[in-house]
Amino acid sequence: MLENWILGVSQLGQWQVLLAMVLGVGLGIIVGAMPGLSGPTGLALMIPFTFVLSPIVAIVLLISIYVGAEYGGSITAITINTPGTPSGAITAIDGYPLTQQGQTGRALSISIMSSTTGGVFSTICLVLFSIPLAKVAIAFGPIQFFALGVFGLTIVASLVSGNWIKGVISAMIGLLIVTVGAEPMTGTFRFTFGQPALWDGVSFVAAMLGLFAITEVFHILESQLKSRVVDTAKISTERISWFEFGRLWKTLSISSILGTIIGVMPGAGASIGSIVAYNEAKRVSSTPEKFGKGAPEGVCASETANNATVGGALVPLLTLGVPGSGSTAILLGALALQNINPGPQLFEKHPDIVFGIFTSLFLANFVMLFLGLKFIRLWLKVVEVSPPVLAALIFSVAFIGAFSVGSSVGDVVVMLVIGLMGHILRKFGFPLIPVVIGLVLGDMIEISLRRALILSDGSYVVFFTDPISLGLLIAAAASLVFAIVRDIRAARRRQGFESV
Amino acid sequence: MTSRKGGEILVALFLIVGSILGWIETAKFEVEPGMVKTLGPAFFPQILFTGIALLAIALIIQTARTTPATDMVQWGYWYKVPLAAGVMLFQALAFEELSTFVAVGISLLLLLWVAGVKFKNIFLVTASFLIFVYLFFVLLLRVPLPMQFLPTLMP
Repeated sequence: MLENWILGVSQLGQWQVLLAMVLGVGLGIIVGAMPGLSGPTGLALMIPFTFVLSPIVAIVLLISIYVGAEYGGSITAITINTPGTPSGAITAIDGYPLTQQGQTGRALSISIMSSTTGGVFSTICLVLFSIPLAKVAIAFGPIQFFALGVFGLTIVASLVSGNWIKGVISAMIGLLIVTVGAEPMTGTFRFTFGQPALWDGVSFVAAMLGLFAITEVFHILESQLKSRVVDTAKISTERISWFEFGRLWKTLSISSILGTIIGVMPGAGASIGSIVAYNEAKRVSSTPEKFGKGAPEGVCASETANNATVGGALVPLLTLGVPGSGSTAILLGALALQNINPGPQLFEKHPDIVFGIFTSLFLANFVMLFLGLKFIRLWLKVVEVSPPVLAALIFSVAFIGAFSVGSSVGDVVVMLVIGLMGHILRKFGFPLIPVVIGLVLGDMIEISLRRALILSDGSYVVFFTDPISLGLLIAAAASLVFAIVRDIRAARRRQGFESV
Repeated sequence: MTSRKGGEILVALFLIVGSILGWIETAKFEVEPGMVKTLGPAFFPQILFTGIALLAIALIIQTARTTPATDMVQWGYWYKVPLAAGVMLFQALAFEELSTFVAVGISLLLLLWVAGVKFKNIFLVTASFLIFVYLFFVLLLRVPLPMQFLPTLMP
């Protein structure tokens, strides 16, 4: 164990790793702060350019973007009431009133200090829980991996959308996209329609860029988003002291724990973490009436929890190879492109990468603290970028990125087709995150299912006689039942309002 | 704006038709000698097509029986999407023929125009981006982008 830690820490001795971390956190904050852009978009745009980097530098860069983006959303939420990320909307509830009271600096410093605290806490949990979990998961075979894939996919599909049917259809579309190309067990071509560009299947990078970058470009163009001008000179930079911050210990503790637990659950992400932690902070507060009017605990709860989800979300990703959000799905794909496959084997085969991730995650949170406190005015300038210009530039970078992976125009066309498909799906309320998770888990689910059935002579009973598989399938079914009940209640409420 | 109910039903119908066509396509997949046909390459896609078709039917029933959370689908400046998609397709088709810089230059100009950027800024942004492409992608990352005739113009 000790030698693994030494190995992990030694990775940080490379200047390239440290540079990747600083650049990554900075880029993440920019992406998170920019309304219309999100962490997954930033990650997807960067993937093609990580090929020229060593695996550890590439992973540190991407993880740092992920960490920075979760915080970045709060900056514009607090200062101009325009959240850059969904979880930033919860921060804005108390953050913006603080700005209106002339306390922007205090709100922003609470936000960054809380984000760092949540991030560090969840990293500690990641280290504590992922190693034993990986040891358990090492015994997994095709039966358990199939059930795990179904569980991960179902829970995401049912939780991320307000409509379980649309969520599951989205997930199935993701799974279908993976079936394009040479079939993994026999090499039979499927859905290639005679196009050589599709023989190797749909490029993961092209699909990610299509779903996250191109759909965003279409969205920005269609909604004609406008840039904002922020007079940074008017913004107070008076920070909260560490002593004052320490008084928020109760909110910090509760929100860190809740954020980490919610991060572990597939489908529940930073925004759910923020909502749950905010409600809990309000519930236990001695002054709940101040919430919504500029309560420091409100900003603290939301920001602690959303960054705490990062470490939590990496637990199933690293130990089981199951992502629970768009960002972690992209990280999984990026790791696979570097020939590093997350899952229990990762801890045995690549301890340098695993412990490198642990140590860099710790450090990235402190880099975020430094950059967040020192360059607040700079991050605020980000909102002045014109969204239409941004859209055109995103497309151009995505285009070169999609082409550069395989030097194939076919990948670019695939990116456009998937982007258009994603835009239409999103317009009619189909969530895109299950598509991404389906894309990432598709191969694992199909191969595991077919192997398990071949081993059992085509009997499906094996999935119900194995206790782990049975437990996971019951949990998957329970998540669907929960979503169905939730949708029925929501529909009844709407009809109730209509009749009134 | 479009009625959300109508739009959702249309998407569901499209999914059903797509699933039927997809299922027919899977029947053409070859099965390896000795392999159980039911577990061949068509097995998994057939499960998915069946699932999508059934769920699309369920979606039609659900949409018809309930009130959607929002009545209308917002289309905004919808015409910009097909225009932008056309520009993107042009860039994809012209990329290898015209070289990176010419294709990206033309497309970016058009895309910025479609996006409604002011005329003077269009040229400024395009020129800056092309310099960035050269410095970052070509010189720093050494991405093998199509250059076509451009190197011959250099001294």
